[in-house]
Amino acid sequence: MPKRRGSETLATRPVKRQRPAKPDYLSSLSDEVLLEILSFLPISTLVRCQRLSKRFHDLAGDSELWKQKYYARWVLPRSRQALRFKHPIPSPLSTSLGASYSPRVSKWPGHGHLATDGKRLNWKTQFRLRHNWSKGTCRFGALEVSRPPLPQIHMKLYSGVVVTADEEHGLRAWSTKASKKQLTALSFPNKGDKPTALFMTRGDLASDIEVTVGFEDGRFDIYDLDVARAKFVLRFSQATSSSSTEGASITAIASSPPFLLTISQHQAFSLYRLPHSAADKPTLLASLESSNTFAPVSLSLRCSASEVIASIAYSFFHISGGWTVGIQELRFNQDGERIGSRLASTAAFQDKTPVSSAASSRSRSTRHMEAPTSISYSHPYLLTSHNDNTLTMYLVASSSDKLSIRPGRRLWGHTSSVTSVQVGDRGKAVSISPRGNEIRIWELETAVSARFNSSRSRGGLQSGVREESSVQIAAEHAATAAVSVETTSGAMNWGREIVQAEGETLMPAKVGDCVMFDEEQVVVLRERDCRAQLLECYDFT
Amino acid sequence: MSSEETIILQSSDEVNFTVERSVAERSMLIKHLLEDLGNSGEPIPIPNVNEPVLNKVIEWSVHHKNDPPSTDDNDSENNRRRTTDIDEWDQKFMQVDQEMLFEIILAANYLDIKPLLDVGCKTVANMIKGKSPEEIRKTFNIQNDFTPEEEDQIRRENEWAEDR
Repeated sequence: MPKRRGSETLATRPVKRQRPAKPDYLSSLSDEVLLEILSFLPISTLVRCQRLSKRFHDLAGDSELWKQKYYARWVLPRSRQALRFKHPIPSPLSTSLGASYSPRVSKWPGHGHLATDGKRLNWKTQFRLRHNWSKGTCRFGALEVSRPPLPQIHMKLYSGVVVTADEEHGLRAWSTKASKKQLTALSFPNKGDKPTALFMTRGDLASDIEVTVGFEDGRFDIYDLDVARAKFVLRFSQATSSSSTEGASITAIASSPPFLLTISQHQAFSLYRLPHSAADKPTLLASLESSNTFAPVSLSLRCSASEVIASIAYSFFHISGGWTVGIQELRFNQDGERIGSRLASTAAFQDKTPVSSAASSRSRSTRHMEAPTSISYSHPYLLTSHNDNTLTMYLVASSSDKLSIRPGRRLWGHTSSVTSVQVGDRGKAVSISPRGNEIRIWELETAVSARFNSSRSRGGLQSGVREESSVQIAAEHAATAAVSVETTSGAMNWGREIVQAEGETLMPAKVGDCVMFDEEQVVVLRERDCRAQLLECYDFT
Repeated sequence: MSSEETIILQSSDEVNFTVERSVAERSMLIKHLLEDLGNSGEPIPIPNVNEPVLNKVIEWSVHHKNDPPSTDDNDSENNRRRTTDIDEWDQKFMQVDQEMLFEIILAANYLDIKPLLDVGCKTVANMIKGKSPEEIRKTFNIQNDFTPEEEDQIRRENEWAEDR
């Protein structure tokens, strides 16, 4: 057997003792006992054991083994933390405080989405994904989506599919998964249709994604994207119906089938119920006009068994507190009857702030004299990004009888102006600073508890959340000027080589959401010195 | 309770050991056997375990006879997972050659003595920790059935998890 050199120094002693055909006691053990032994090993050793032999490769890669490792690394610490600090958010955390390993993923706090019925998850893959997110480690790919004249592109990412909408190209979809190719494209029905808002959500069928596009003329279209067959189908086109929204372009859309929420340029909100068949028209359930909200806004729609909550998070200028955030919640029952409407804002507690030094320093810390650059709300987290290199995180408490926003906390970490933030539905947020090409991933739950830590240890005077709750994306090769990636098969695919000229800057696109993420990727829409628009994909798998 | 009930255990090579019932009951297998059949006073044959190994197992069981019964719930499972720390006496106890170490593990597994099995597994885990694959193979005489290319491929796939 040829011996490999390199690690010989440590191995010289055993060689002396070695007898010919010394038995391999370890491999004589049953799989069951070997798995038991492997379960005591740290990850770094476990992956080394995969190189020992084919049998060890399979055993040390055992999904159940990695599931336990995943639990110990990612779930248990959170449960512990929740035990230590009374968690401010009513969540499954408070009920599953036993903190004991359960093979049933549905019992793991915050992991309901991984409790796939029947489908077998590879837990090693899940572990790696989680690990890469926590380290900011990813592979980079990019794609040119337009050349001058640069249309205003709207971009969304959902479940491994990026969809863009613009006047020139209509709808286009790309896969961010392994194939990384353009799936399909479809022009809008009328010449001159100018999209002004875009939303993606799960469709009726498991493989389908529902794509809603709002237009400048106030109409919206709903498309079904069949991912497997790579096809867009226009389900229906909603003409401008209500007189109040006539001609006013749609600026934001949120959808949670069968409900759809739109907001127009004139701050008119409309809630629709979508019919089951394409032949019927959507029913307008409610509309509301507001006079005092300002862009940026963030719409969200959540459905529970008994009610539908449509919420609009917005930012406004308050005379005593500067720029503050507010949330309007409209609650409907499943039949679309309005149960109530309520409002909460951070201005309320700023008014009531008692004149104690600690409290006033706190309110000052989140006072903004400049409008936020973006706002994103996914219950219970509401984040705003600012030109002063920070983000502000608010926790929203919404129960059947109360809606409130807790005092904001600054999130520190960026080193230049933050232009966009996106909150995901699992307590993660991604934000971007165009200068220095800085993208940060935030674990909001960590940020929440970090806040408890700091307020306890420093007597409540330290109000910011430092970097430990965020990590900067460090894509392989992304820092170098010339980015070369796997494939170079033309503009249809990810991974075209980007050669960045001296002094050239890649700015995030100025419209809407220029940074999006799903379970596996972050996608950024960028503008390159008015010469091209690019989609960048940071893949954490 | 000066005259505690005793049990006779017989090794595979037909050597008898007389032990206190509480010592024998460290083994869940024997505990359940005694619960089901009662103690007839006859030697209980342990067919898979020879005299030197059974001697070691009994030595361990005597030392640990007063340990609180291992809880079956998963909480202790988790505490156990996190560490490969072994108490001093057990460490000394496990300073045996590989053949004996693995015989003890097999016996603990067969006799269903979870804490002893854990100590054995932790000992082996500690022998693996911090070593390169080649060193691990040498330590245990594991036959590498990968081609160098295959092994390198696996190394690259796992680079993300190497020393953090």
